[in-house]
Amino acid sequence: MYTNPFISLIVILVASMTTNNIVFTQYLGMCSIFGKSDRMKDALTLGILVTLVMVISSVLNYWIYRYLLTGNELGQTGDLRFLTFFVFIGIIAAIVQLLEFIRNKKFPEMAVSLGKWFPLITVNCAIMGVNLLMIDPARTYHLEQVFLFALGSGLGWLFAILLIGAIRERLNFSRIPASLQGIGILALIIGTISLIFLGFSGMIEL
Amino acid sequence: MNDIIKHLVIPNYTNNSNNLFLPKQKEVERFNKVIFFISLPVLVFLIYFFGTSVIITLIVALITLTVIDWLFSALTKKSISGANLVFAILFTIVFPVNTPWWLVAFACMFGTILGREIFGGSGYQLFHPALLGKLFIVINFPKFESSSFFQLLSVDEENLTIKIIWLGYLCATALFLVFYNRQNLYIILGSLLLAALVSIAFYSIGQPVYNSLTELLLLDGLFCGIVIFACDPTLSPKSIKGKIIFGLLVGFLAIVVQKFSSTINEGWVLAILFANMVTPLIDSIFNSSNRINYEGK
Repeated sequence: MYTNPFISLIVILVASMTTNNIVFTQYLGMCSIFGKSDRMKDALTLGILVTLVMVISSVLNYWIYRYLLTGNELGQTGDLRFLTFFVFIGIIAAIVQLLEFIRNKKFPEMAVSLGKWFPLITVNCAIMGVNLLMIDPARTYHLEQVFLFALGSGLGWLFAILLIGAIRERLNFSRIPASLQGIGILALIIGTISLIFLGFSGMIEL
Repeated sequence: MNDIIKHLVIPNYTNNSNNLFLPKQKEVERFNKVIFFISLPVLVFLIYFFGTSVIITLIVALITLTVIDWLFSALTKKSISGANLVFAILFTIVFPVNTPWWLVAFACMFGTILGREIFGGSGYQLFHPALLGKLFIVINFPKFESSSFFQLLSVDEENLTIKIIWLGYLCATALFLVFYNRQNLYIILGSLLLAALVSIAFYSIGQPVYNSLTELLLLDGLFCGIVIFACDPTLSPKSIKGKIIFGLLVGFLAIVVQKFSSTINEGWVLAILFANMVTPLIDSIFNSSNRINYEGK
């Protein structure tokens, strides 16, 4: 679609951040957004961590998928693609475990502020979603495209959690009906935001 | 009944604290009066061009808004939110002209419930209710999108006088809004300047969105949209830096959406809704020094 390779890379980055935002167009990674967006500082930390895990795991998983699982690059016989889910989730869990070691050494206060949401990055569906979307046969991505797609999706997730965090701060001053307090009003707001993003659809084809 | 008549224009909204996110009561009341008198001539303009269908739309919108307002206040045991006449006029302005009355009722319901009532009424809204209603029509019933007021107005090459009157009215309104509250200057000027720059950029690479300045201002109603819908104190940031960013965002997105989107004919609707959406984030970033301690509430 875009002949210039540099422009196509920029388009992938920008589109996965904005118009094809993984939260508001695919509705992935909601649980952490509902759970940990009540304080902006924690939301920022969690968003950066998710971006980090997303980028590292996509690049590693892309390499593994391309060279070990599809079975035509290193010359082994047999198609190992049925192992995709197991391998991907294992790699993601290993990366989160590694980050947890680093956290215990360098940032022990993060264990208090993020609590259970740090290990739960493993099961954040946005990360697994990006990993599975990048190997979608419809998107013939190379390594650099995978890197930028993961980076853009991660930054889009960061934007989403900051946005919901700020909206939650504002909602503290609103007169919300008692039956909608908490998750209810957030789900309605995210649905409305999805409607706005639906208006953006068709602007860029990924 | 007395309450309803009293609150046709003025919203039932009380906030006198120095809040980080919400405007003061006085500001909201004054702005609603201003927007009422600004939008009345637009309504007259619409009725002059399209006749009774506009009046039907207005009546249906007013009835729907009042009923929803009354229902919500009865169900949630809160006072009514008010300003229904102002919102009914805004709904009428932004809807396509040939929208059937049942669709007007549905879109008004959608816009006013999701944009206003669930947040507690007028003055607390997070998205502009009228623009949400418009988005509802655009996405669900695209066949009614074709004939919008702004496009019908600018198709004819002959009615030059009407164009001049319309442009002069919008300029006067923009000037009035700036004199009424000087901070509106940042939104209006910022969005128009960036929109013009982006259009020039598209023009210079040979893929023009608009061919002249009048087309940019009038063809899809960008100027009217910015003047009437973008300056709301509830829906725009409180700090000056925030207002500049809000204006730039509206101007940039309006042209880019207009150029690339296939779903919507008027890019500024999505641009203003998107900017409304990021307003809490902008407020939160630029006012973090004098943040009120909200935790534990």
